[in-house]
Amino acid sequence: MIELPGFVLGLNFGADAVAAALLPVAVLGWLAALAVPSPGRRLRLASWIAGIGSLGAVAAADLLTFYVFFGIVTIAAYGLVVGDDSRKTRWAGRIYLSLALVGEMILLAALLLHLAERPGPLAGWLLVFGVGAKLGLPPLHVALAPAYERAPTRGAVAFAGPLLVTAMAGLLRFLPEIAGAPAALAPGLMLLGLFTAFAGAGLGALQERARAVLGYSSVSQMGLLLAFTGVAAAGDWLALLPALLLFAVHHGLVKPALVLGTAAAPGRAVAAAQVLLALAIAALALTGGAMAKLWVEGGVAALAEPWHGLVAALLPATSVASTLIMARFLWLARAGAVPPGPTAPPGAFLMVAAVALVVPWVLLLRWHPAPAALMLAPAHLWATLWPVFRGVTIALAVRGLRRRPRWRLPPGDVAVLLDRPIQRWLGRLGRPPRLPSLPAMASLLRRVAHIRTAEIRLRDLAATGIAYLLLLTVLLVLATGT
Amino acid sequence: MSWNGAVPLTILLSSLLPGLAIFFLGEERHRTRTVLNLSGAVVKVALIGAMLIGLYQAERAFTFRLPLLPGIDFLLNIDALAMLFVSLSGGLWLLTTVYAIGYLEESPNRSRFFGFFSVCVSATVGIAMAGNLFTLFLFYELLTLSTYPLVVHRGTPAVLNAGRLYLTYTLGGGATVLGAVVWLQALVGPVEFIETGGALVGRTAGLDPRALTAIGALLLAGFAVKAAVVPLHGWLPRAMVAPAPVSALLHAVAVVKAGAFAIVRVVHDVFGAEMARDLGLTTPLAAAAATTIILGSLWALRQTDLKRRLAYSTVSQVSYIVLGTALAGPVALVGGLVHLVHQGLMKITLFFCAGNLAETLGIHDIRELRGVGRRMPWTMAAFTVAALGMMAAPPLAGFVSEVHLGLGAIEAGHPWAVPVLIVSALLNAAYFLPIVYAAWFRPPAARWPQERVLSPRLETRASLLFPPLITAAFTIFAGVLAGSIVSPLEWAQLVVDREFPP
Repeated sequence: MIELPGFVLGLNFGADAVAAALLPVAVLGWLAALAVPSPGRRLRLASWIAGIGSLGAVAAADLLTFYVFFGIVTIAAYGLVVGDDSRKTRWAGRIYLSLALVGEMILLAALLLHLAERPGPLAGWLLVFGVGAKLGLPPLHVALAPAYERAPTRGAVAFAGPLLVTAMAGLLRFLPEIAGAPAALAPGLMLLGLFTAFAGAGLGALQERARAVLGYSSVSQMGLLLAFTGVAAAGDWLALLPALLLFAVHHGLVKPALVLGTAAAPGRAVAAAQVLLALAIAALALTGGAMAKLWVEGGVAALAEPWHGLVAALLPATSVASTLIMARFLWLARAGAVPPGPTAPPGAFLMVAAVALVVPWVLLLRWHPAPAALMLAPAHLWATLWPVFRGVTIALAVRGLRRRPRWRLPPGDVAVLLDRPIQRWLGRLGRPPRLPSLPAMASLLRRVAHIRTAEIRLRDLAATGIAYLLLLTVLLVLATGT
Repeated sequence: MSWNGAVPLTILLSSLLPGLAIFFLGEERHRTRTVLNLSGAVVKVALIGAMLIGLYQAERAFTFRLPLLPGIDFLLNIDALAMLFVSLSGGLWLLTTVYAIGYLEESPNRSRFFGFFSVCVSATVGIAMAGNLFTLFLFYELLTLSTYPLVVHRGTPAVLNAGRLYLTYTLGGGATVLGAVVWLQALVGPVEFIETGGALVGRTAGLDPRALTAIGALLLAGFAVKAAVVPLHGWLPRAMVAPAPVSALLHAVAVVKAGAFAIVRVVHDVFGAEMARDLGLTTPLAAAAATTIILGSLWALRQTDLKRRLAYSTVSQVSYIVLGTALAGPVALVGGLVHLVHQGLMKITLFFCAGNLAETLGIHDIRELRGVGRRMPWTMAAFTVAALGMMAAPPLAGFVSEVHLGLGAIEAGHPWAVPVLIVSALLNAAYFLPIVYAAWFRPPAARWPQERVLSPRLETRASLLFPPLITAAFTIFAGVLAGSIVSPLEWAQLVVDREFPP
């Protein structure tokens, strides 16, 4: 525990289970981001500031400290998105920053309730949506895909890795404390989470560019995390927290690796690693995604109806959706060229990919009482294999039809549609009714012409001031004399 | 007269006497004038420092009393609240003097300008140290009269119009205050500020509460003119025609601050938070402040002239202080008082930078700012820090204010103020970030509107460049080191501990 009471309003850092698991992941994410050569000084500066900010936020022991560092990340991350001066990039940057600031202010409200010692469902939801702008919770999800797509590779890796990890750390570390009794939030979290998981996958499957697909995949996966959080909140939070952390670690390593892979020089090893990483996101048996899902299913069994039936039915379906969106990604990544900008060294990519696939196993062996047997049980294997098979089948069938989707969805979906109306509305807001500012008094004065002439005379006399002050001094001296 | 009484008087005279001397100096006596100006400012800062230590360590009383008429005393008294404002205006005056000397180089009528400039600061310090309502009123009027020549310094028709509007508003406000002071004195006798509890506590037996409410409303309305609370704000955006150092004075050091400070005095040291609440004064004041906060930001959003945008931003931000006062709770008051200092630091930085852009490159409009970060990186870095502070980005000064105001609003039972603060912070972002963005992220235009090379090595004249850098550094320190004993927050906490004894 490090306490710095003199700084800001008292900063406290310390490692609990969340920080101990996610801090190394954030560091690895930044290393992966730094592996991409940066084209400019601005991007380098932004990565360092955002890096320090996100590590500080993950290590924060209280919500105030988290808020301070999260705020630094929010501003600096703008520099990670805007790498060029094109119209689309500027748009992506603007959408990102607007929504991130909205999220920041929601988080501020949560912080104020926390400091006023008023925990409760309201404070809990404010926290969820406060970090939700970075997690991609609807309707704040619109910023994610444009940022992934338009940012230079280094920025996109940071967005997919450490920035998501920071937001997840805030959610998992502070939710029980801020919400008081998190069980009240559980139904809402599960519903919102499952909705986000499917909506994100659906929107992503309609994308035209590999990185935009990854952006929507993050939205979908964070929806899954939120649903898991709901399951944990409904039951024994501490028992399921390791499962949530396992999922956070898995996603926090695999997603930046996937983004890094889109910029690596093409080759067989790179392609194979991309497929493996994509399968891990789809939660194929024996990957980190599958481990977390199986573990959480233990918690689902303890849920009351109707939640048990709902979640148990939909959870496997999320894997089908994830498989579809990952198939779309692999298809686009295969067909599409490496995006402009510096390429990532393939060696670095392969290393990151290997770490991303292995680390969840290490954690599982350390954290779970009966890991290997459980993972390899035939029933479990089947449970994590069939959704992926089904997804692959559907993907192949769609491809067999050889139809391009008739209508396309630009990254940022509703933001693209709503941008102009909102701008217009904001423009109108800038024209509030002019309040009368005592015009009567001013016009009255104007009518009294004498005042005006007198004023002009007074103005010409620089000595007026001197006379006035002399008078004042004389009065003072006289007064002291008495 | 004891030594302790001489200190406040010396602080007052350290700017008044040089000011008077400067009036008699010839226009060409550049060096003498500079020496007078700076020595006055440095002496003032040194005295303030000494007094700060004295007050903090020994809780000594610094009082100067001069009976003028029976029942009417000229009273200077330094309490913790006075010290907060004296330190702010004294410190920023030094920087503004340096800036003004650089800004007005080679312009006419400098003796007149610097004379009134010094008098203006004396008046501000007088307001801070005033120990009773009469003295406060005296310096409040002196401030009006000494700033008018500064506002109309350039003498063009537009400037004269703005100056007339300024006088109309502020003299009207002054007259309102005078009426209320006389009325109150007739009812209860002389009113000296009492930090703990309020001067009127225990003296209002048998008085009609409606009369007290009316007096309070008149006092607050009169002082709200200078604090630019809607609908009494009209003069402030018009007064931005004044030269940049004067804008700094109006917006950060003296005028609007004097209004806000006087409101704190009236609510907490004349009536006391409890009585002000019972008389129904605080809720309308809080509502007016909240309205001002939102409307000021919305108006700022619409301006394309840089200084006009900053002016409307002041309208909005000064009402944070008023809001913190009107919420009538300890934490909210900490937020309001600390914002008195923080807003001063941030806004003076912004006006210094705007002045630098206008002087060096001829930039007045926001649309001309593209790529200016490459031409004037230090100026724009200072601007960026202050702008981020204004939108309450952690860990800068504005964040510290915002947290205390929001927390205070919840604790005082006015949670509706939290959305107001949040919306205002977002609006601040909406009108400041496009400037920051254009300066750093867009390519510069082919040539600047009116470029002048003012320094062979620096991006502009050194006396223009260093003041904003120093205030921007303070903006960072006030936020990052808010928990240390040298921070404005610590002092605001000390003031509030005296206002609300446990």
